[in-house]
Order: sequence, then structure tokens, then C-alpha cells
Amino acid sequence: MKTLTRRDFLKLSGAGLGALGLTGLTGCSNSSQDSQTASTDSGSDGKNNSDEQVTLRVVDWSDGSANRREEFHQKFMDEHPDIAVEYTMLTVDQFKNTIVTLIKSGDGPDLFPIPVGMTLNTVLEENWYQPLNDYVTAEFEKSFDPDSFAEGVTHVGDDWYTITEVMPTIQCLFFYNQDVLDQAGVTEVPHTYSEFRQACRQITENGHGSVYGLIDGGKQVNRMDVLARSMAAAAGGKIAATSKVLTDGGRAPYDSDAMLQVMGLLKDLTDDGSIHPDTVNISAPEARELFAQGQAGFLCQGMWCITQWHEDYPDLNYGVMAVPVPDGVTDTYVQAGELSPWIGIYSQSKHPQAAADYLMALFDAEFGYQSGCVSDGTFVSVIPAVNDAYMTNEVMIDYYTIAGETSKTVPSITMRDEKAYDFYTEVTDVQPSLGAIVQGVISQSITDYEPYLTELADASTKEWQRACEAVGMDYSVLEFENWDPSRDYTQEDYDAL
Amino acid sequence: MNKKAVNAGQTAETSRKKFHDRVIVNLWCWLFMAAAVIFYILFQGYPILCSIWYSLLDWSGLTTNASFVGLANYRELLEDQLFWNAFANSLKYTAMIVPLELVVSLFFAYILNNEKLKGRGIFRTIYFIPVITTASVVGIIMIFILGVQGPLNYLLNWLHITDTSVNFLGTAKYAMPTLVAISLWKDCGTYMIYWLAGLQGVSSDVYEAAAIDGAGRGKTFFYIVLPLIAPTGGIIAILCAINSLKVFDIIKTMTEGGPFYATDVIATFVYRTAFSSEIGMPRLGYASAAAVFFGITVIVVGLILNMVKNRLGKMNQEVSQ
Repeated sequence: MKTLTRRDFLKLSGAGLGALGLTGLTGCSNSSQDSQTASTDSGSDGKNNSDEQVTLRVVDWSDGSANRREEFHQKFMDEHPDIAVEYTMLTVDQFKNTIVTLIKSGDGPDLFPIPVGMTLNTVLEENWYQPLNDYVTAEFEKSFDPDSFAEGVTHVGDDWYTITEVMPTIQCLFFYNQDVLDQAGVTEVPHTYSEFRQACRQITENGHGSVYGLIDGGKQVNRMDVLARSMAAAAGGKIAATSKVLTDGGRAPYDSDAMLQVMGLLKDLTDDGSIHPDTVNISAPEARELFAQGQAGFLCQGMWCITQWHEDYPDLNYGVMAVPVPDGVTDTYVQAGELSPWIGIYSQSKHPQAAADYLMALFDAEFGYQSGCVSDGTFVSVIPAVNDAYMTNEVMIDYYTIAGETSKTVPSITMRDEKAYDFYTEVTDVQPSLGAIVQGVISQSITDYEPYLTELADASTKEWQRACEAVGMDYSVLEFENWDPSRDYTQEDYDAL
Repeated sequence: MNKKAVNAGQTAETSRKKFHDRVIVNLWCWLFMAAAVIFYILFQGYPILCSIWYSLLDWSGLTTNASFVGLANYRELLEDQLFWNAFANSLKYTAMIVPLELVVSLFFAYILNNEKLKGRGIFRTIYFIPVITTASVVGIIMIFILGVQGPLNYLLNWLHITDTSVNFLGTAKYAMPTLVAISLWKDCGTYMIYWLAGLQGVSSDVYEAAAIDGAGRGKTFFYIVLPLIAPTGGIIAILCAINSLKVFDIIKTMTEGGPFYATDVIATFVYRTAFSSEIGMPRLGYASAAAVFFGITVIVVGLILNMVKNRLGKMNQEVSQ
């Protein structure tokens, strides 16, 4: 038997490494070959051949309707045996981290939503999406609520790029646990700050360290931001909804009287010990769970809670109420929900027709996803016929009614000036943010909140001025002098500017 | 003359042979390192270079319109109070955990190194289990355990150690020590294994000689064993310090840097800046500058600790001579 010398070993090892390298290269070339094959098979018009097996990749973050989505996928694949749906659900942050890499590598999913914070115009400049027009039917388009279409959100000119997931509703109303209120002897649902504070105090005192007045997902700074903005608007403040920008008197409205009142209430509740001590440590879903377990009387969240409680706590005795207002304040409203872009077809998708078929089924009542989600109370559908037939959940109807009665449309800078899209791409966060300051107040890290709010308002004003200058937009575009928060801001108001 | 020429020829031949052998040895070394080097370049080197480049850009990471801004991100960092808060928190966390980690893991290692201890394999496994548990899972469970109505507070109240529940994670002054305690529990097993490796290098003759000389367990440990394993301790300290400066997962899961930035460390600062924004776009370029700046700090700290370790090693050698 021949002995393996060092030289032989080196040669063999070198050959081995070379082979490994080649395998890697081959792997790369194989994958590109596969892609090419798929591309050729699908045809240049993107229409599916009936005998072709297509894998449709869908990525989003719709965790609130995960079970319904799963059922839908099964039904869709049963009806379309030639299409296999590969669905990936990520968190909003995970999605943001992942999608750019996928697109850069030319391997984006066939269907995916616009990341939070980005506008349709921005992503179209990046060539992320292709129009739906050629792949969907006219009946499909007609089935939508006309209010679910908007220039710069779903459409650019005549081209339809994205579908909104839901009809916008406000993300912040107060849920109350009726059993907790009853046990504490709270007989009336509170409307004003003093009533709310008293109810929270009563619940906390009666709870003896086990039950508290208010709970929320304070670890999520974005939720705290929503809470503060909604309450400030309800207190009569002129402030945009979360992630949007509007000035009041030429200044970022973070240290307005309304905002100071909100912070004052939160500080009072904290000083009373009425806010669940775990609020700062937990996320919104955890807060939702503890509320349902009877650890708090009130929770400030959105409609998505209803379906979760419907599944996990069917016996939960709860209701929904408007955002409390300062004593003596009347005729004030929170910011109505704004339409936001959601899912669209990837510009490089090899199966655009299959993707469009998926979308048409997703928004078709017969496939059960829209009707299921509406009847569960997950969201208000963009298909009015579905809402008419399936909106039966009482709490959801209450939520929808109260949301309609207590919210007003606020102006939008993108409706006023197209450069506003560039502004939102240019502007950066100012820290500590509004949500972080709320967290600081609740955790008692901040005892005097006024300097923080003033600093935030000053720094935000400066940053917004810089961003306006950078994109060549007049700073005065952020100011709507004819805005009266007690009524909807309409197209006539824009025209009158 | 001929003899000189022969000698010169032999010397040249010897040099050539030595050079040839050195080349062969080097080739062997490179061959065995090749896989690690290739992977390092692909998954560490390239991203590091990318980060350095990104740090010179004004870029969200989401669009293609990146603009070169030179050192502007670094200049902005120097005036960013939240960056320095995160920087200070990272150092504070490291300063708290490294001594604790060294002492506690050495304590367990020393106990478990005793050959007479029954079931020491089982104990080693038990102490190592937290290491292999996913940080996010540990985080979620710990949030429950440490909650105001969690089992720990229940125990403290039941034992009359506290009258009211302690908000371990929701109060700024307790949040960081709580995270340190959890990290200590989670990572202790790793450093225990390192210490065990060092302790097993100490010959049993040394223990026997110490016993014959009448040294008790304490004296044997402090005057004989500890100096012998000090070089291992130096390496453990460096590894522990570097890992602590990079801490992310447990903090992200448990506090997200809160309450109000009380536990915000560089990694959470970078993550927040790079991937999330409440208004407008995130800032990958700025976050990269923060990461590069802190990376340099970690290298400097590592070098200083290495120098200290070498100095201690020399002092130790001098003492033993």
C-alpha cells in the first residue's frame, strides 16, 4: 500500500479545495440557471400555463389574522392546484431588515407590502413594484370601496400598484374590562380626565396590588407615541397622527397645552400607582393578555385586539370607549385613520398573474379571508359588501361607531405638495421621541416632562426645517391655517389654501 | 580557499533548505486555516468593510440614493447624547458583569473540579444548560419571573424580604443590575468551562505538595492554584469583556433599552437607528458610524486588557522564579 506523502496530501487537499470552490460556483450557476428556467417557463406575458407548477412567495407581517390566512392559503391552493403558496410572516422590523436584501439580490417575493415609513413614490423610484392593472379584472377593482384608493398610496396616475389591507380606523380607543369595573364599583364608563383618573384609582385600590387601572405595551415606544398623539388630539391639540408631520403655529406641536395636559394625566396616574407596573416592561400583545386576564381595567389599543380575545378569551366581558378628554373640553376629536399602502406585486416577479389571482382571491368574500376577518372583528374590509354582510361582532361595531363619531380627517402634507414624499424620505427621527418621553414619565425616569417636550419640539422644528430645505419644499407647507380639528379636512380646504 | 567555498556552498544549501522547509510549514498552516480565513473574509471581513463604507454615507439602507458625507456621521455622533448614554451603559454593563462572571464561574469551576465530588458531570451539565438556551427565550421567561406579579416578587413578599413588589425591569435603577444578573446566570457556564480547562492543567502533584506542607483549601487556592491559572483568567477576562461590550439579544428581548434609555447599549442604539424610525427613514449610515466607532473602542479595550494580562503573566513568572 502506497504511503501518502506530505506532498501528495497537499496536492489532494488543493484538489479538494478547488473542487469545493467549483461546487460553490456551480451552485451559483445552478441557481441562476433555475431562475432562468422558471422565467422562461412562465412566459414573457407573465400569464400562467395551466399545467405549470408555480411557487408563489408571499411575505408580510399580518399576525393579527394568521389563522384566517392559513385557512385561506389552503383553500386557495385547493382551487389553484398549479399554485403553491410559500407564505412567510415576519415582524415589521424583521420585514424591514429583510426585504431590501431580498430585492437587492433580485430574489424578492412575488407579493410583499411597503415597509412602514416608506411611501409608494419612494419604492417606485426604486422599481420595487409593477402595476396590477394588466392582471386584475375590472369587477375586482369595482368591488373596492372608492375611499380605499388614493393617489400616492395605492395609485400613481392611472397605474394601480398596491392594495390597502384594511379600511383605516383609529388605532387608539380605550377598552375596558367590565368585570374589573364592576368589582371596583365603577358604574359609569369615564369620559373626562378626572373621571378616568378616579376610575383607575378605584380599580387600583380595590385590586390590592393585583389589579390596576390602566395597562399598555410601554416597551413599544411606537405605541406610546400613538397614545400621546391621540390623547393630545382628543384634548383639542393640532397634531398629526403617528409618523406624520404637521406644524401648529410654525412649530412642532409637542409642547402644546394639549400635550402638556396629556403628560399631566399620565404623570398623575403614575403617581397614583394606577398604571400597571409591568406596563414599561411589556409589549402590546403582552398587555392585551394581562388585560384579558383581569389585571387592569383599561387598555388603549386598536381593533386587532378583538379577534385575539375572541379566540383566546371568549368569555371576556369587555367594551370599548372613546379617548378621555380634559374636564370641560367638548367637540374635540382624534385623528381619523389614514389610508396606508400595503401589498403589491414585485416588479421582477416571474408569476405576476398568479400573484394577481392570489390578491383577487384574498379580497373575494367566497374565499373566506375578508369575511372571516370582519366577522372576527379583526378589521374593517376594503370591500364594502363584506362589511355589510359580516360585521356582526358587537364590540367591533361599537369600535367602528365610536371611531367614526370621535375622529376627524386631518390634513396631509402629501396631498398639498408632491415634494412632501421626498420630505418624508429626508426627515429623520429626533430622540428622545414623544413615545420615549411617555415611557420616561410612566417609568418615573422623568419627573419634569416639560423641558423634554420643549426640547423635542425645538429639535423637531429645526429638523423639519432642514428637511424642507433639503428637498426644496417651503416649510409653510407643514402649516394648515384653515384647519379646524373639529371637522373633517376636505378637498375644498386644500383648494382654499 | 576551497574549504571556504565548500563551507559557503553548504551554508547556502542549508539556508535554501531552511527556506524550503519554512515555505512548506507555512503552506500547511495556510491550508489548515484556509476554511476559517475564507469564511472570516466572507462573513466578517466583508461586512466590516461595508460598515466602514456605509459610515461615510447619508443613507437609510432602504433606497439607492445614498450620498457620501465623509466624516459627518462621526462628527454628529460626538454630539449625540443618546449615543454617549449607550456608550456609557455598555461600559457600565461590562464593568459590572466581568468581575462577577469571573468570580462566580471560577467558584463553580473550582468546586466541580474536585474529583471526589459525586455527580459532578451532572452538575456541569446543569450549569451549562442556560448557555445553550436561546437568549430570547430566556428573556421572555425572565420577564414573567421578574414581573411585578411574578414568582420572584411573590417569594420575596412571602419571605418578608420586601413589603411591596419590586419592579425589576421597569425602574431605571434596577433594570441594569437585573440584566447583569440574568446575563451572569446565562453565560456563567461558558466561563466555567474555560476555568475548568485551566484548573485541569494544574497537576495533582501541586495539590498533594500543598497538602503535605499543611496548606488548607483556602491557602492552596489563593497562593498556589490561582497564580497558576491567572493566565487563563486573563484570557477569560478579555473574552468576557469583549462579549459584554457587544451585548444585544438579552437587552433587546427584555427591555429594548428602556426604561427611558436606562439599559440602552451600543448594540440596541445601532439597531434602533439602523432599522426603525417613528418619522421618516432609518439611518443605516449613522448607525454604521456608531458601530465602527464603538468597534474601535472594543479593540482598544481588548488591547489594553491584553497588555494587562501580559504584564500580570510576567509578574507571575518573576514571582515563581
